[in-house]
Amino acid sequence: MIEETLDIATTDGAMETFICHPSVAVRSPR
Amino acid sequence: MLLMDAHGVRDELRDMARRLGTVGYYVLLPNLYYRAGRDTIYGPTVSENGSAEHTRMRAVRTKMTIPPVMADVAAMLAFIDRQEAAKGGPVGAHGYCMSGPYALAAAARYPDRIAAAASFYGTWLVNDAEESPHLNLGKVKGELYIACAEHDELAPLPMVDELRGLFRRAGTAGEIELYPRVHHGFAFPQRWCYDKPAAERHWERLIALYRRRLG
Repeated sequence: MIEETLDIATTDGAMETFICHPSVAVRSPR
Repeated sequence: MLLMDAHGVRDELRDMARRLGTVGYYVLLPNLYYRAGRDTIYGPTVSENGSAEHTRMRAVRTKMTIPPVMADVAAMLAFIDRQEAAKGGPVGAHGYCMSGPYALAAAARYPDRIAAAASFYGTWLVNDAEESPHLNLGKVKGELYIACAEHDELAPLPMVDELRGLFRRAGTAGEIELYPRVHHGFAFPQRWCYDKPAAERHWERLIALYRRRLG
């Protein structure tokens, strides 16, 4: 599992967002 | 997109995001309170009515409205589109408590991107707010799943019945399900009212929805 917390730019500022996903290599959930 | 409940981003929600990640999805869990500053992460006493943390949270939560969150959803969609690790195409959004309406509103605002949306004990799904979910059910092209707790003063049964009628008349794909004998917050493992069978059902229904609509 890859995890990171970063800011997503919005019209009102920077929205801190926790992100997780299996890996860069997995493009499909199946 | 996993949209937070009123208590905000915390380890409990990060763990829920991880669970969705383990079945293959690229998951975003944004701090929707960011407009109020970085100091919008709350300690465990946020769940205690009258506590300092609860009061601090309520000062932010009561200012939340749907349209700005829809702008945030647009920002997340643009972000997702730039990520190599995220499969392109349809996106799912689900929200708990205050974010139930946000997830459903997102499906109406972005019908060509949000192919699946779910609300779990979403609050006041029928009200006079701008973009209240009940107003735009007919705009949704994807599938909705709306889970309500039998005991929920923030989503009373007459409201659920009204929404069910509107849902049917709009011809929206999906369903509204009442979870019997459980309270608002039943899917949160750290909540006093956590109900494991109902929580597991919520996972089963959510993942099945995402499998059908997102792949």
